[in-house]
Amino acid sequence: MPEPDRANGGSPEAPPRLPARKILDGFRDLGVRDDPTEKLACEPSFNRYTAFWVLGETLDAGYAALEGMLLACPREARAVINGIRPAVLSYLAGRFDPMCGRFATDSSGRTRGLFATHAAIGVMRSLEGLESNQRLGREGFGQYLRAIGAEVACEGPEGIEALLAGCRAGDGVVENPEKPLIPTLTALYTASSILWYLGEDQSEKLGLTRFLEQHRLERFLFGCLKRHVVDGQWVSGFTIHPDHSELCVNTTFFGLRLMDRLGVSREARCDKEIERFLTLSHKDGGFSSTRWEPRSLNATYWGLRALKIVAPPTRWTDFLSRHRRSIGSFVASCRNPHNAGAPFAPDLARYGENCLATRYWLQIMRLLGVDLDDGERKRIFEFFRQRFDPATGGFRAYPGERVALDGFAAPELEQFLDGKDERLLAHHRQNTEGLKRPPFFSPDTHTIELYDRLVELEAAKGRSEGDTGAIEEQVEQTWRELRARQEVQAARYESVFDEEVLAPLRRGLLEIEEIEARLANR
Amino acid sequence: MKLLPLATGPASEPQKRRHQPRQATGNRGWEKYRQCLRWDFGFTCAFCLLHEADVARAGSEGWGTFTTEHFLPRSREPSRANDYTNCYWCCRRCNVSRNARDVETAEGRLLDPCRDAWAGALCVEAFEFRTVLPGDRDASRTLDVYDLNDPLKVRARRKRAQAISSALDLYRRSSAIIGRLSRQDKWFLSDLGTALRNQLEAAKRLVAFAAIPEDRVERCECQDEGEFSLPGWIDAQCIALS
Repeated sequence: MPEPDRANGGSPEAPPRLPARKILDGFRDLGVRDDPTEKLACEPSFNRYTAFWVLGETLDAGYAALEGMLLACPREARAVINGIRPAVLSYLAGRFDPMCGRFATDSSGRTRGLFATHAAIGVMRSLEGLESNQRLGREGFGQYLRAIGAEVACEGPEGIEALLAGCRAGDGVVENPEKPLIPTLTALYTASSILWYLGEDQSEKLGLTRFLEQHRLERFLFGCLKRHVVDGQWVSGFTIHPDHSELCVNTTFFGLRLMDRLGVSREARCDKEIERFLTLSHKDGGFSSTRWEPRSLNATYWGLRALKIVAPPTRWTDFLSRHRRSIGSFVASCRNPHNAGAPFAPDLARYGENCLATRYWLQIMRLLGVDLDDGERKRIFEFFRQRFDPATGGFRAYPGERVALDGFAAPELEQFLDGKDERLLAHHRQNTEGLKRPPFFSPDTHTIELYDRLVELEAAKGRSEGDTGAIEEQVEQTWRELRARQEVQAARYESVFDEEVLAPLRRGLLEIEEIEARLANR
Repeated sequence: MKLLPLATGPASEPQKRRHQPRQATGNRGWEKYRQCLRWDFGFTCAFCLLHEADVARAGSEGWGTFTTEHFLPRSREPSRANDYTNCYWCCRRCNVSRNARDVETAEGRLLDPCRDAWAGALCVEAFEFRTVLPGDRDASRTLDVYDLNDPLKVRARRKRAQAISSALDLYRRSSAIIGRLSRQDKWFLSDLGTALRNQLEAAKRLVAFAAIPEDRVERCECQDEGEFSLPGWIDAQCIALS
């Protein structure tokens, strides 16, 4: 593992090593489910498949960390982001699949889909330092795609539309067309958010309406709005799919936001009943996404935002003033008791603090209008900054070591799995054996800039007449700089190759020599 | 199974294209040629001769490391952007280093892998490209423009040779031990186990250097059935493993 690159904003201190054990314990306590589509309580991204990459770096973590840094300490964040930009771009290049025009959230490449693409756009927006209400635009997206060498028609209007159309399945939109999952309202909302982030001149409503009409999705969207009787009262909310009956706080926010973007009236979407449902989902300062789930930070954030949309302004401010103390006490209880720093776990049942949960906490604080003191801001900022892994250019979801993606390098994981779940172990082996090497081969942005400079100098030399000595000198200088840069990359490539490929072979040859010697003496 | 050679040498004849995909149209239509190009150039960069396996262990697709190079740059000849004969399978580093430089300048002409016999102008010695004839300006310019001796490329060539030769050695020696032990009356189980484990380890490493990578796609844009085999000049250099 190379030394952290301080010049690129890498953490000078080694990341804390403790939480891996705790995270795994957390999984064990909650039980790892068999069905890949079945979610673990309150954190939709955790199931038995994703349990393996939580220790690695992911696009979602990158998005959350970059945005979180900007929310906590904007000025410092911009300085750090400028430093790590080349590494993050190189990381994005490795996460892009030019064959299908989508990003993959982790290096297994099995999670290529809308969520990862959305997260990648989020990373690009953060690199640009954009606020949450500012768009990246198609041109900006195209520029980033070109910067990471993505050779696919994504920058044109037909490109994004084609990407979204590819995720159309059944009667709705799926997150990843290669996975046999049911269409979800979350995927539809993500598609709409991608459209919004990349929209420029056309109004938000027009773009979304066209998308819904083109793919006949209105039925799906309106089908997710359901009415139930709870405690003798009508309540309304959104389900994840028209065939499902359970109302969910998270999807209620997504559905409301979509309808808001479409300009559907308050009466048509039964705001009063939705408000009643949200109020029922709120207890002691936190929201539970569905009736059987514990309160969580993300459900609390989505619940508060949904309430802000449906409740009249006076009732919203009244709700906030009445519950400010209990909300504050709930979110504070999600703070990891083992970590004196800033991190937060998604809910009380979970040990592992992570980037997403901490960002939700920050956003809740912002929604409540709480001003964080400088010390708290700094701690949060440091938490996010330390998730950056200079070896990959990505951000780790958890503060553990980057181990799970490198096969069985993680003794903790192996110990956890050993003899406890054979099927899980087999699945993990199958997954890790197919893993690819990180994209060491792609030139980083700085190398590309040096090549560009050489081309410019060559052109200047061609134009100038007479003495070209000064230009020649600059060419020499640029070549020296380029070679130094390439040497660093080559050394990194060599050390990883030696460690991963040659070292096991050398060990094997030594063992075989010993056996040969023994056989000769027998 | 065919393994990659320890070091791929340049072709002694101009490379021949066997695929004839349907003419693509529209903005970035050439992307449709991707699978045809992979098979036509044997999953190998047409310029630096690095194979996809040198770049990624289980196939390079999805990493943006191999791209389509337009020999006549798109910026200069936009009308030939979707011309298949103008497209080459090229690693990203070669593509980036060339940028949009002209084929012909006062300093020399770029060698075209499909029109020139590269072996007559360039050779690979100690994993680095050299010009065959001193003062060959075309060969020197090609070497510089595609940065064929970029340290990462040189190291990737060297590492491939080391990995394949070590894995082959391990595979053969552990197979010999397994054969010897199984002929003995008294079995030495721990030794046999070690030899079997090492044979498997070596086989896994060798499979990673298969000349036809795991993530190949036997489907392309050709009107007729495409040619899904290695080009002759690469096939002749490959190591056959039974």
